[in-house]
Amino acid sequence: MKITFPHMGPVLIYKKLFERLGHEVIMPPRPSQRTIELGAKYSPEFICFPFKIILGSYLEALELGAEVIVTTGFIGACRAVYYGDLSERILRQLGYKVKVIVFDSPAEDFQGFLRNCREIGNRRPLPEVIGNLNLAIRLIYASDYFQKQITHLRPYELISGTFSRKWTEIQSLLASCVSLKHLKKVIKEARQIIAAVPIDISREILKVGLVGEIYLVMEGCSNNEIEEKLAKFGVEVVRKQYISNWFNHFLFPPRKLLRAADTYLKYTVGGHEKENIGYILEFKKRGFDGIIHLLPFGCMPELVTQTIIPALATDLDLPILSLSLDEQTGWVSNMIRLEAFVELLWTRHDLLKENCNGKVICRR
Amino acid sequence: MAKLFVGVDVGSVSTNLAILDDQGALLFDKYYRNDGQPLRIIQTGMAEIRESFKNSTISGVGVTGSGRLLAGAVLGADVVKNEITAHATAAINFYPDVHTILEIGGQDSKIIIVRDRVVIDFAMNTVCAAGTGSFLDHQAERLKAPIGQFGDLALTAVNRVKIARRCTVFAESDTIAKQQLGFSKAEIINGLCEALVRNYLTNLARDKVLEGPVVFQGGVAANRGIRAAFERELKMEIVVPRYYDVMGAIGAALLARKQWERTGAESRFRGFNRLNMELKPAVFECKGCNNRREVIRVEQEGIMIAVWGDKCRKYSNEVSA
Repeated sequence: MKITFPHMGPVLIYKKLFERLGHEVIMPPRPSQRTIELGAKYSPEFICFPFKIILGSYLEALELGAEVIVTTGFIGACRAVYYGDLSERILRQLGYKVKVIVFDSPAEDFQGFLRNCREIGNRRPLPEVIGNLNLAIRLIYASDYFQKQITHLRPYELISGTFSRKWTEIQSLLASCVSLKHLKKVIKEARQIIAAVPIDISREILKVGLVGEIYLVMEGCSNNEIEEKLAKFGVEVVRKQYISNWFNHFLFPPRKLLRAADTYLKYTVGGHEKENIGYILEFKKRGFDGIIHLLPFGCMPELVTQTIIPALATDLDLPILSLSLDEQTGWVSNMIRLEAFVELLWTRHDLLKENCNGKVICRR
Repeated sequence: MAKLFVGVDVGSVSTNLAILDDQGALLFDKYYRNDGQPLRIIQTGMAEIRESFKNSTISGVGVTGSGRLLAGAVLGADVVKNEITAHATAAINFYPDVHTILEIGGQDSKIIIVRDRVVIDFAMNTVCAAGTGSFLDHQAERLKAPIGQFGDLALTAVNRVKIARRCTVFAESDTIAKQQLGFSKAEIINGLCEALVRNYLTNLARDKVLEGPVVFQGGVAANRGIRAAFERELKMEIVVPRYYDVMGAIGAALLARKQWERTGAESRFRGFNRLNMELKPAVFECKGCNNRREVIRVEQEGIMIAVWGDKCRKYSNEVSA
């Protein structure tokens, strides 16, 4: 079976897992302008932007010979639940003999989950499957750990672009990992790579929280590398959405965070809107300078968050910039918004430093 | 020798120049329509400045507007800033107690909320150009009413006509329908002004509290019909600054001056002579990696002066200062 998957998060590690289970893997090419155009061409016009990107990368992987697509389902009321089946239908109509395996929550459909596991397991003995899964999960945690380190340090780098290059290096290092013992060595090496990058830690920077729809927040290619752009303005971007965080989120739901969001939104709407509100509240507590909220044009759950944002911004005295993205987005005007937003944050930062006697500056 | 600070605002419809002295007084301001060649305009504008200020040095250059990157590279700008900051800086400079800034330009419109001389919130129009100057420009041409007299004509309207405001295309077919119903040109133009204002307010000011004093600037502020429509809609007095059309350029010059005050560094201005050399822009798709970036490169006399679009900085690092 030639397997492919959506381009989201640490893709090299997914590749590794499937290869160790004896499948041939077709890597989805990194989403580019072509991917987006391809996806938009064959998607329903008003579907969310992430679906279009993902469909585009499926099409590119199919061109390279993929036969099976492995993806995850979603829990909730948002239409993303149907995206696995919808993409299969669209691809079949285009004449591809493709199979889409959707992993849903085992709590909802345990039988289906087992069936999928058996298929992916490729008749390997159970201990081997579990061993490989264990390694993959540990690799994902390690990869997310280093990505967090890098986004934390990027605004301090002396030569712009160094950390981005080192990140690619670390990713392939992790992907070359064959055993847990080897992983330890690799982690050590990756630490040394990061420590060797010249930085100026005395630099004054701003801290901004990134929240919003999970694909746009996680995938640099869908948000025009917003983290790197902001790092160039001297802004550290912190986000809570990583694959490893979602494992944790699934195993131990963050009740405290969700309860804090109750003040603004009592019910869940189907996406991550309650989480996002919770993150904003948490970021404020941690003393962040501002929040950037990304939503795909027409995304229902995030539109709900967007309408709550003015109230949040007033209550928390925290500047929040909401950016709606889709395949039509011109980044020229978004760059103006980002620049002006960062400018606004710096002025606030300086004023607070001069001590305005705790006066509220962000009033709407 | 007097010190000059030049501000350049390269917009979609016009390019504006402003010059301040080291005290911040405005010495020169000019509004040029682009006619598709903003670089040529910068060249002629700078030549004019060279003639009028013979015994001065340029101590700082600030650029803003959608064409700020290229203009910044060509001039050797000290400050390259977004329009929102530039407009707010200029408005706060002239009206320190301003609370709301309305800015309508050729292809974008902005609202900026200011408290205690600090920008606290802003919004910019998104995909739609229905609330901007280009729309009025186009309609003026279609109605054969010169854009200069458009606003004054609107003020002579007797009856108020409501025109669909959602979208320029619908607005245009609605004006045609209203024309065929026999409304006068003045009434239709007034209807258009009101449609633009309502569109602007619903798009940009949705979740914002608009407090006075309100300053209205940008090219469209010349239009008295729009200003009157804003006053009717907001029930507030709207101030149009004397230099409403070059506020962006003034803001850029003020920012350049501020930077000079802070650092005292010498300007990076490339000089008048190099400005007139021919520029060769070229676009190519980089095949170096999977990103397939569209890279834009500008050369002058065989020397690369600016590159945009490469993510990996393969080309950007080669740019000679």
